[in-house]
Amino acid sequence: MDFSLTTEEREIRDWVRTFIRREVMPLEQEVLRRERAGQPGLTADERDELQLKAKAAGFWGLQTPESHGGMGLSAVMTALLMVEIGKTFVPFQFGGDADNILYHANEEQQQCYLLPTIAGERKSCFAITEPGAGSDAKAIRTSARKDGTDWIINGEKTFITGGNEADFAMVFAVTDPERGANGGVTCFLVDRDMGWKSEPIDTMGEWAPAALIFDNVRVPDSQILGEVGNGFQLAMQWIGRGRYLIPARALGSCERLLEMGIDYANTRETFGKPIADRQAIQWMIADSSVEIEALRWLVLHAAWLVDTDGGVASRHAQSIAKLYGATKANEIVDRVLQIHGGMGYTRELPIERWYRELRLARIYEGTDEIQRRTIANNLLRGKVKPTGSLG
Amino acid sequence: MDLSLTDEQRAVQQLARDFVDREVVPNVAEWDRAEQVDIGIVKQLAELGFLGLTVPEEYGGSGGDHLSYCLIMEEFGRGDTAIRGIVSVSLGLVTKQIVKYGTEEQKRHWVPRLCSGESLACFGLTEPGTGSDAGNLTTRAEQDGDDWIITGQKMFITNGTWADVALIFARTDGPGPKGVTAFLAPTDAEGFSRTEIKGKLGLRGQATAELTLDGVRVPDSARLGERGQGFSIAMFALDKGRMAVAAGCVGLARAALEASVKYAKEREQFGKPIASFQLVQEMLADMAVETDAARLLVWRVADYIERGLTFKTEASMAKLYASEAAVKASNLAIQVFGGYGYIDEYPVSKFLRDARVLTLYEGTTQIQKLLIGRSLTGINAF
Repeated sequence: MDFSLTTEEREIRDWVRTFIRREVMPLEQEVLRRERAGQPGLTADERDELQLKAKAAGFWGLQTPESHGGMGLSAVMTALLMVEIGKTFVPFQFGGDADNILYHANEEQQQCYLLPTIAGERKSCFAITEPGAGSDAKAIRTSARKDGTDWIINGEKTFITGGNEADFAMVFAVTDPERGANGGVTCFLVDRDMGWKSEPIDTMGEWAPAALIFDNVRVPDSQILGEVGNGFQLAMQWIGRGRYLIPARALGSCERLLEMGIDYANTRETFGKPIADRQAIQWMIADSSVEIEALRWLVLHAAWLVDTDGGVASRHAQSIAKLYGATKANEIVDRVLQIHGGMGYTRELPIERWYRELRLARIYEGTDEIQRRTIANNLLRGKVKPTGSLG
Repeated sequence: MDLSLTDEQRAVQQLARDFVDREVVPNVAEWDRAEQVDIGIVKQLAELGFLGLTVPEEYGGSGGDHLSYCLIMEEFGRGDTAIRGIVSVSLGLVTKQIVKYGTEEQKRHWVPRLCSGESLACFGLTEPGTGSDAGNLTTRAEQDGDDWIITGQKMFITNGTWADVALIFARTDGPGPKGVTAFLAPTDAEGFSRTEIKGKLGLRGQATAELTLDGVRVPDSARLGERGQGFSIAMFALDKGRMAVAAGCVGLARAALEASVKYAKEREQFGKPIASFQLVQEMLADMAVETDAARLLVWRVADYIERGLTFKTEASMAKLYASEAAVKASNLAIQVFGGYGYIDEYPVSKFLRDARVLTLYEGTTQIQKLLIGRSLTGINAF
């Protein structure tokens, strides 16, 4: 057993840490100003410019295979980088990655969708959730009806990340109502100009997902990703692609928040001394620190299992890390806000922004409740032992 | 990064697992009711090398690394916290300090006996008036020629009435931590008396005692370390001790989870196993998450020790987190078992009673938080 990072891992992480500090964090004040004026924090051009700067240093396609021009990083390495990205609320992400299920595309589709997505020329979105089907994704009702060699898609998708910017969608639709999720759902690659529309959804965070409307959208047979009827498996594969990435990012946010809490506690004086002198404040700091360390190892453990196991043990560990990370990030941002008192509640500081953003971590990519269900089911069905993969 | 165990570590884990299943689990309820474990188990522990872990073989130890030690403590914690305490106090707090700080003579005299189970040790730091504030202890050691005369009281001493040797911390000089010196006092010395503390909430099989030293005379050769070094010896022992306690907590939390998973599948209500109710599943999931997190925090400490890194704050984090996780898990286990969890025919009420001491001894939860807070802010809020 060895908890240390290799020199290479440290070097890659340190490069990203420096990049985030020098290139991304300086934008924070401007991002806050714009968001508060109702504008996007970062324009698409600014994001592209940052991505190209990183690309010039080789940071492009973190998880894209080297055969496709990416870095082919391990899950552990990717998690470490996601922690660094999570340290800022500037909506930045490295470019050059494509959805994992696009690698199932046939040769022609790869040319049209996979490669341009990796190149950053096209933007995808993953469209399964519907107004009536969230955690219960099997309940989707969007339908695709065969018409000659075409399919006619009708239905509504909601909370689609990137749906406002995407120029194509990976849409999951029922092609055989009898079979439902068990062989009756198919994934279609549907360009925006084939006729779907998107509508931004305002949220409490600074991030707007989209509602997608499919009103008799006609797509040819050649737009099917994979096989007719295997859409649900593809969807599960997409959702399971990197659940550890969410708590990894939340971990970075928690580290930054705790740093803010410590700095503030050491400088803010009440009754003649810094509030850091008070046990009540130290305990909030200590509790947060302990939970951050626990989270770090749950995330890295999950990522390590993705690299070395890839089976039920890794999915189990990812659910554990996701549930823990989402829960604790919300508790930690709340404590840091408390340490800052009234200042924490104002828009002078970014804490209230983190507060709103982190709330989503408990909901998307599997709610807390869905993670608990997965964890308990794995235990009760004997798929993993209570000793976990560690014992 | 590599979180896997070596074949050797797996073998030692299996050895401890089998031992606990064979010798401990069948007896715990009886020991708990009798408020006394079968003390013959000390010999058995020694025979398998558990009392000599991480101790060099030249002193009768069985070698091994700190992770192996944690793996064994987890298994003992799963079986019976009282048994885990015998090992972590005699070996962890005392034997290891003799190895680290002792003279060659002290090592040759005590270490082989302690590793073989011929002798057992206890750690005499806490006093009736000084728990968390151990640096202000009042037991005195006065020099008399080449000897020392020790007078004072020690409280809540694990292994107290069983031990053959006590590592006693006494004030030899001025006030505060710098005036404390450590002594290895044989418990059969004249003036040394011991009373077992009965009626504890948990840890009932464990002999927790009050020690009274009334003019106990020991030679200067019984002094462990330098004069005035006692408190730092105690703190060093407790830093590593926290890792062992935390590993035991992981075992206890795991035992609670294992018992709950099994029971939830067997127990039926409303025509189906209670495992099929989401509110029961939530309890199982939360126990599993915290147990895994605690184990990783513990293993990190073991890894840091092996790599020669500082580990004090990490040990405090592991101890704080794992002990609170053990209390929560055992409390949830009672909830899963319902009324049956409240009676001692089932194992889980003992888990809670035993777990409750884990957030108290070897540094309370509050002390751990102060240590962690101090390390993060640089400000001492004690």
